[in-house]
Amino acid sequence: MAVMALDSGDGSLVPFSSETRDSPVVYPIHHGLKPPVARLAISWSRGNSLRVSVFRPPSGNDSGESDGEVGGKVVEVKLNDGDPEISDGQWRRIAYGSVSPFALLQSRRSSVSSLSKMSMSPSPYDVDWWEYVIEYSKDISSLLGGSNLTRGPIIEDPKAVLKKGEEPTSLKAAWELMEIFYADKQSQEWLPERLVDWLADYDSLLSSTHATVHSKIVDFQKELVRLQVIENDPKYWEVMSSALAVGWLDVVVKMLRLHGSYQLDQLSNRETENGLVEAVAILISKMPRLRPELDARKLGECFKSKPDFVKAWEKWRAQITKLDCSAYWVQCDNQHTREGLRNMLHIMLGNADSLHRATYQWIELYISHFLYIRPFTMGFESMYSLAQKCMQLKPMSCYHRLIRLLIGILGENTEVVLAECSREFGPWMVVHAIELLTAGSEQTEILLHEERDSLGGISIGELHRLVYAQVLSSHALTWQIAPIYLTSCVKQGMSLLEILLYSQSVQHNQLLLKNIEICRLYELDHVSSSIMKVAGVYHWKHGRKGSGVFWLQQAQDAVRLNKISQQLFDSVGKSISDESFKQWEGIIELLGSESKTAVGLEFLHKYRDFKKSLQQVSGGKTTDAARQAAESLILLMKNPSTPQRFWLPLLYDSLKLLNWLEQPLLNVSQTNLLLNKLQELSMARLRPDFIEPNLPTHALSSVRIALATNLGRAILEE
Amino acid sequence: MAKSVNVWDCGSTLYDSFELKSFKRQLDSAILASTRTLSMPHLPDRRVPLPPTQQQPHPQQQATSFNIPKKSSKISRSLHKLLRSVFKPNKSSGSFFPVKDQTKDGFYVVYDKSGSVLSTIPEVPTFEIAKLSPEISSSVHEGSILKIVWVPPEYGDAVACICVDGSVSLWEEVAEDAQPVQWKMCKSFKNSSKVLDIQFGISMTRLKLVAAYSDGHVKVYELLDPLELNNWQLQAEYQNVTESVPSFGKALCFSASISWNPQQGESQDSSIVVGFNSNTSELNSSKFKSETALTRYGSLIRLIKDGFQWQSWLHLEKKDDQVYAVKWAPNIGRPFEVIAVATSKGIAIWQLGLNPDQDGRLSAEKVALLSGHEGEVWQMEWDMSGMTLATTGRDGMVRLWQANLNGVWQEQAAFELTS
Repeated sequence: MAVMALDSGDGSLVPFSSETRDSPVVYPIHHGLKPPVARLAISWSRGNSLRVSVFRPPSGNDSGESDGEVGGKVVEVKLNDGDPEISDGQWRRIAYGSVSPFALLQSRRSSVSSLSKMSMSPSPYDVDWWEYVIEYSKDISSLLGGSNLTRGPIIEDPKAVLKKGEEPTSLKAAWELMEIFYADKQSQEWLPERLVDWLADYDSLLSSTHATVHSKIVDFQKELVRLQVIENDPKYWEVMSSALAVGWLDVVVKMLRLHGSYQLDQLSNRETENGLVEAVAILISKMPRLRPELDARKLGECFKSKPDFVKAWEKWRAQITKLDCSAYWVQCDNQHTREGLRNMLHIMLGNADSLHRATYQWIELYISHFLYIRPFTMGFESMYSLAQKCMQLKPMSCYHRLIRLLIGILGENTEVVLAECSREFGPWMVVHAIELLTAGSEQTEILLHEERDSLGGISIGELHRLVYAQVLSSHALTWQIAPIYLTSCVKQGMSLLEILLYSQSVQHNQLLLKNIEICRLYELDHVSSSIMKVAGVYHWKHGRKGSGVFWLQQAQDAVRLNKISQQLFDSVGKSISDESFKQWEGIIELLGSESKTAVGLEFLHKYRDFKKSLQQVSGGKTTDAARQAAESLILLMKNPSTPQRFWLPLLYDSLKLLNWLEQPLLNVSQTNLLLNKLQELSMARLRPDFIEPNLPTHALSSVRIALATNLGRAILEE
Repeated sequence: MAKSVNVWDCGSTLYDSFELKSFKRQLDSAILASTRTLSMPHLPDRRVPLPPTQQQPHPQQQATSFNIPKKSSKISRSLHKLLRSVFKPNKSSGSFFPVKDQTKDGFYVVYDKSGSVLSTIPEVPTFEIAKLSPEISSSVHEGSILKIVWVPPEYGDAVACICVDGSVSLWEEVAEDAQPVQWKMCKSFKNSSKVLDIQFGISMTRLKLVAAYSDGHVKVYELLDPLELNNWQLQAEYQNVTESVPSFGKALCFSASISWNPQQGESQDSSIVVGFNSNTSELNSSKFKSETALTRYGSLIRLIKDGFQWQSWLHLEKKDDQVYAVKWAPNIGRPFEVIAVATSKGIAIWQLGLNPDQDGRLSAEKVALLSGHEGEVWQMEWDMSGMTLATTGRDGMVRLWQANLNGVWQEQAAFELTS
């Protein structure tokens, strides 16, 4: 399953092997507390990071008083991938960069499969599909490092300048290996040549475990400055034949040109010797290669078709043989030059012993076999058996992770390849490489996309995506790209996405908005409503009532909004002073009129309107305003939703209207209505559950008098 | 898909400025409409600067230390009584609550409110401890805190605090109008028998609280008002959780564990799993093995299904196993549920069929019995996908368990403390 490495307290990365074993690896957690430790507690933090809290026994006893130790500590353990070669920031850059190629490929996959509709997955023999996969692979590859990796040793000028290119990474090397074997079907014809290039780019990585041709060249280059007569140093010849064996022709030719015989003062005495050196250099640079093209820097002659290549190869071999048998060797005085050059000729002629001597790791020997012993190898044929043979010839106690990956690939064992990817390069690699693997064969496609009961009904491919998404969600800067991968998981992705979104913090508005936006994108309305609910309650409880109501409204949380209106309603009923009016007016506004859900809300709205017009009346003296206020009073009193306990406060508040000097504002029937209400109220007072409003005792009587007066005036008026 | 690519870039223009601006405008207009009132402050401008896209050095290790104030106090009796801290599940904002024993008989709350932006847990400001202790210590009386349980976030930032003496109090973080944030006790449950564990869950749009008592009862309370945590109603009581109460003496359980099915929609049925442990040497010694009444009482675990028509109790473990902890795994799409049960024999992984058979019984199968921890298992936590189980216990180890590609459960890693 998920293969992990972890970053424990001391920051060291420990590879976490997933091999079956009896006892699991035990990692230390450095908490830096003085023993004893009393208690441990664990909790999952974001994604798959685990928080371990360590508590010391409480101080306070005899000794604890003075030790000044902290009471506990929380250590976060990351159960992620982690390639020590790549920094966190670089990882995030890769994670972000790979989203777009991945998403593009997924959308192409779905459009292709909807077009064909024959099978769930695009046919691996669909030409267009190859092009998509290789485009995807190139995009990812360019993310992993500069597109133009320069090989380490380039001997630029006679006094040896080592030009350092961008440091190659194993991740990129591994990706290219996958690309060569699974994605790039066009270059299958000249697979060996691609491997030659691959080794040229990444041989330096292999030096970490054992000596390589690269490391030998680097070593020699350091000595080069000190050497007076270069051709007398056996290492010069050794290094050159090694480089020749693995096909670094440009390096060899460049080094040959450092030969002492080229120097002007010696040219005359060493004419023959120089001629031989130059002849070998020319032969090397004319080496026929079965490939469509070569880098400008690299040497050799390219042949696209095999017949042409075979013809050229035989001609070239004949030239070498001719040179090998020529009489000039006798005339060459310098023994080193003579032997060195002839050894190089033997390498070119495919002498197995010479090749064996010239190479250091089996992969180098393997490459040299392709170059000089089996130049006509095309495609995948017998590559694995040759690899096994080379491994036997150059046994090694342990292999570099790239080599293990290569062995898996050559063995055509998808499980091994996946396991190596996952163990050595982490979940990112697996998820993205699966696209290449499945492009390789239908069998792999079935293996990776078959739903398995043992995994709870998901495929291996989906499992890896889920694991990767979890890794992404463990970091605050990457969780937002996890949805892309989760939505590509048909079976379990959405549920995990819901959990991920729901567990984001609501305390920061920006994050909250982003979270809601993601919900909208994936049509997860119920999740966004839960999130908004949580946000609403959070703000409400933290004294920001406005925001609270806003978010609860967004969540359409009728239950809580009702409760809030109820609260408001209750508090409004208790005291109806102008100050409290100000307090709740805004919330009424915010609760809005459109939400019909709240019981007393409609009333509160009308009540607010009434209060407002009443305020206008008290400000100015216009009869129009007063008439309007009187009308809203009647509306309120008529409305059955107006609770009884508000009747008296309402009437008492509008005493001024009832006693309006210029003219009676209420007509007879209106006044009668109010009087009836007043009567009803007097009856209700007799009931035990009646709540006496917080008004002066004379309130009722003064309202009654005002109404009676008004009635009289209204009758007169009519 | 391809089009939305830019959206996902951290520093992308669309996501972080355009979308945000439109939202903010909408928000502001709503808030502005109500600024006239005093009680309606603007949305606090707590927005944090956008995280830089990349390359920002992030501390790999995030550790925080809690400074427990050095105050003279009584000696803590025992270590294991000390503290059990339970972290808020499901919230990656990662608020967490260390619980402090004895020193002042209180607990303090540590937040990682940085949630969105940072990966570091800020140092605990000492004032927070100083401020909280008096309030809480006055009410959390004698004895230490056994456990802290978070309330689901839809009901505010609140915890339930179980004390060793068996009382439970509910604490809530609130800020009244202009006052600073404070923790307020909103409810205290007292009972003749001790509360051993409680867990919150949402069922039928209501917040429920399930409590397990030392006499083997399980009670279910319901919150009446979703905005006030002080009004709880006893909804159900199950006395027969531990059937066959011994004929002599009073039944006593020493620890209990409850776990809700994490997949609880507000409108769905929910289930819980309960485990009890009456772990004393007398009860479990061979001497008493024959005394069926006692040994059978040892522990058992049951399952409640279908909302609160609590049906079909299902035994997952034999009655005489001591169940230390139970934990229901999140299910993101498996056709079965997974429950981890820690007993004295090891950690059992149970698979539960989702559909009951004709008799209304659920099928359950023990797919693994994992041994590794020596002694009691204190705590088990599933990760967000329900694929990894983290456990810790008396042996001081943290262990991680996963199923491999063949569905075989195994220990994936272990962590040992070193100072």
